[in-house]
Amino acid sequence: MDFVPGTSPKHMPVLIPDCLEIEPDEMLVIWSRGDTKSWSHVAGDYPACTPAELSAHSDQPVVLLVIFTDGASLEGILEEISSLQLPSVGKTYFAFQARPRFALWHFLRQWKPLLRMMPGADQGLLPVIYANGGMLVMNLALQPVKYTRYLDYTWILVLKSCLKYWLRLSNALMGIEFILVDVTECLN
Amino acid sequence: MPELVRDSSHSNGISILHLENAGIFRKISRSKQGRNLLHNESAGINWYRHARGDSDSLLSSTLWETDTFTRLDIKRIEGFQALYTDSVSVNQGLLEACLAHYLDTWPRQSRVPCHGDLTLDNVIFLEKNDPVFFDWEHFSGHGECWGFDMAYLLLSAIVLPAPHRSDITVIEKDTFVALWRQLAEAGLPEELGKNPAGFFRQAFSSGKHWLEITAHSPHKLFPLWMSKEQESHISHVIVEGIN
Repeated sequence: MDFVPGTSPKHMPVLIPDCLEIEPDEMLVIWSRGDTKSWSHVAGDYPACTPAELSAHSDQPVVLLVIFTDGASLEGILEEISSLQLPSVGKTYFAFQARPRFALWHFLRQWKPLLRMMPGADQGLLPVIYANGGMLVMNLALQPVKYTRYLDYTWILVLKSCLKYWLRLSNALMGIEFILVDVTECLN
Repeated sequence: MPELVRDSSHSNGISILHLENAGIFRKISRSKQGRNLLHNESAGINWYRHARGDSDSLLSSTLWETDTFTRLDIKRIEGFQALYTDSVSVNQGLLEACLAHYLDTWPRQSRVPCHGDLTLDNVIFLEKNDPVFFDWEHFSGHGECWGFDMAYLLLSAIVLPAPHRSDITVIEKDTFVALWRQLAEAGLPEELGKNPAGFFRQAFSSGKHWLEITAHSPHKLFPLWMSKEQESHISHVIVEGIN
C-alpha cells in the first residue's frame, strides 16, 4: 500500500502528535476529564496511552496532552492533572476542543483564566490552531512568524504574504478543531 | 508551537511543519514515496555535513520511523534567502558564492554525490559569501557527473525568473556566460556544458532514482517543462559566449 488510508498524494494532513515536541523514546499520555479512552484516536499512529495504562511503561519519559472539552474548568483540571503523579513529564500541552461555532470566543473564555492562574503565561505562549483534519496548522496570531530573512523583500511582497496569511487564518478559523498550547514552562 | 508550511508540495507526500520554539523544521510522511525522499534527505544531510567539515553542528537531523510514518527533524539554519525569481544579474554575487562553495566542498571525481534540486530556493546564506544548501530530498549518493548540481543551479537562475521567455537581455546573458565559463573551466563535462537543459532532461528520464521522483512530481524539475525554443536559445548563448 502506497498511502495510509485518509491521505492522498496531493494532501498529507498532519496529526496532533506530529505538532508536539515528542521524541522516539517518549510516551504520549492523553488525559481528559471524563472518558479519556474516547480520545485515544487523537494519538493517531503514535505510541500513546492513558495515565491508568502508564504503569506498564513506568520508566518511560512522558509527554502529556490534556484535552479540554466544553465546560471544563481550568482550576479543576489543574488539580486533577497534578494528582496524576506522572513520572518524568517532559512537555505538557493543552488541547482546547473547539465548538463548531464561536470557537474563538469559547477559547478566549478559557484562555483568560489560564493567563490569570499560570505565572508567566502571558509571555511566550503562542496558541496554535489545528483545523480541517490537519490540513491547516498555524499560529493564532495576526501576522506570520518569519523563519527566514529575505533579501530585498519589497513592500508588495510583504503585503502579498500578509494577505495570503490572513486568508489562511480565516480558513483555519472556519474549520477549527483544536487550539493547542504548550504550557510546559508555566507548569514548571 | 508548530506551523504547517507545506502540504505535499508537488504531490511528494511530505508535510513540513516549522516548530518555532524548538528551532526545527519537521518533515512528516505516511507514504512510501515520501518515506524514500526522507531517507534521501537524511543521507544527503549526513553526506553534506561531512563534506563541509561541519564541526559546529550547523547541520543536524533526526530520523524517526515506525511502520506507518517517517519523521525527519531538521535543525533550522538562521540566515537569509535570495529570491530565485530575481534575475541572474541581481543574484550574481550570491551565485558566485555558491559556485565557490561547490568547488570547495564537492570531491574532484568524475562521479560525485548529487543534491538533485539545487536552485536558489534551496540555499540559505549565513553571510553573502557563506551559503548552505538544504532540502536534500532528491539526494543520490551514487550521484551524477561532477558539476551536475552547479550547472542545474546556474541554469535555474536564468530560467526560473522568466520561465516562458526565450529571449535573454544582454546584461543577463553576459552575467550568465561569465558564471558558466567559470564552471566550464573548473571541469564541467563538455556534454553537460554545451546543452545543459537537454542533458538534464535525458538524465531525469532515465534511472530508477529519477524515474521514481518524476513519476510522483512530474513538474518539480524545471528542465522537464522548459520549451524547446528556450533550451536551444540557452544552448546557443553558451556556445556563442564561451567560444
